[in-house]
Amino acid sequence: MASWQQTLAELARDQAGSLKRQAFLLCGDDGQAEDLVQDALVRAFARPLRAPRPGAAEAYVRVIMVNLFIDIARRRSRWRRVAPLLGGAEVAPDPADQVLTREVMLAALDDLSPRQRACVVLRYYQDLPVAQVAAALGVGEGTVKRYLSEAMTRLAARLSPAGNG
Amino acid sequence: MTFDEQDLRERLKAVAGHAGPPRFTVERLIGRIRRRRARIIGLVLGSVLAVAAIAVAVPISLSGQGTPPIARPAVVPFSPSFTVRVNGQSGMHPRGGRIPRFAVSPGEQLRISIGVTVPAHARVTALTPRVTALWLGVSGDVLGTPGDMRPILARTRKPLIPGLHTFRLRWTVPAGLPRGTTRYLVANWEAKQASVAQFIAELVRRR
Repeated sequence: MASWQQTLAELARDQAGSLKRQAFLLCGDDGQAEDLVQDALVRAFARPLRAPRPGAAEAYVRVIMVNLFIDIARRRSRWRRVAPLLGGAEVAPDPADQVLTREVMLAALDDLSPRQRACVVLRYYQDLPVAQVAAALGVGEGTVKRYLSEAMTRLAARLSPAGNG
Repeated sequence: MTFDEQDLRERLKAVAGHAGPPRFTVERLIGRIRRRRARIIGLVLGSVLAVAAIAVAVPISLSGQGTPPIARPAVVPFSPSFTVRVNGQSGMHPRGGRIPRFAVSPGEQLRISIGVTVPAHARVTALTPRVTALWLGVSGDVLGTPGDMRPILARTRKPLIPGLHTFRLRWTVPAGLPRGTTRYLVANWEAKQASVAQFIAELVRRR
């Protein structure tokens, strides 16, 4: 088996669940998260001369996943502005508390811009330092801090007891 | 209770726990990656051929000053085109798909006719590109070398001159082909310092 295939197999065996969870936080939808993980893995390993090294593959795929999510979200933003005009079906909230909490959290994350959301996931879910978040997104540390500050303000408004009314 | 970073961390962890298990398999991913790699390599080789063609064409055209103009074939990168008929049918093109799709049944004997058209500008000279070898075969999900074909249905090492070349082939669909499985007709052709593999038709098991 070629070395890149072995690296891919090991990555899928050890980290597929973790990658899927991060993708789920970014997308908020299980199907889209599945697609995002697969697309990121394909992109990471498709370049014949730039396939990731075994030790660095996971971080490389995560960075690709976040940037892919931002690209996709940017393309979808135009559709999102039009979609409500078409009158989508209302989804009744699940009465179970756990589901409600999850839906509230996902709705709060949906309220963030793609870059803010990516910063929140990388910083507070992946526990990456600000410098690494900045490197992953290709922006400055100051910009990441600003995104995080704005995101926290928005999330607090949606999630704190006072914000929930 | 106030909303703080620790609270956010716990909420994110809780929400992430609701993600379903991954559904992909490594084998399917490897198939996708190989197809993408083949496409990238094809693009790179195309670019290299284009640069090489320009590098040849420009000096030739400049050195021609003072001599009477003569018709020279354009030296541009080329790719042979393929037409496929299975059991006399030309297949259907799925929306957005580039290659024709044929419905086949396990155990069915297929009479496959593949037309290979080498464009006229692929003139056989020492410097211009030409098809120097061709393999036609069947592949599961892999686009690589002729060795990845199972089986190779036809091969030729004779340079193909511009024009239409028709290959009539026979293949029996494996009796144990699982439902929903797809096989591909694959062409692998070589030009000067280039080897290109491409899918030319899709054979999908009937439901």
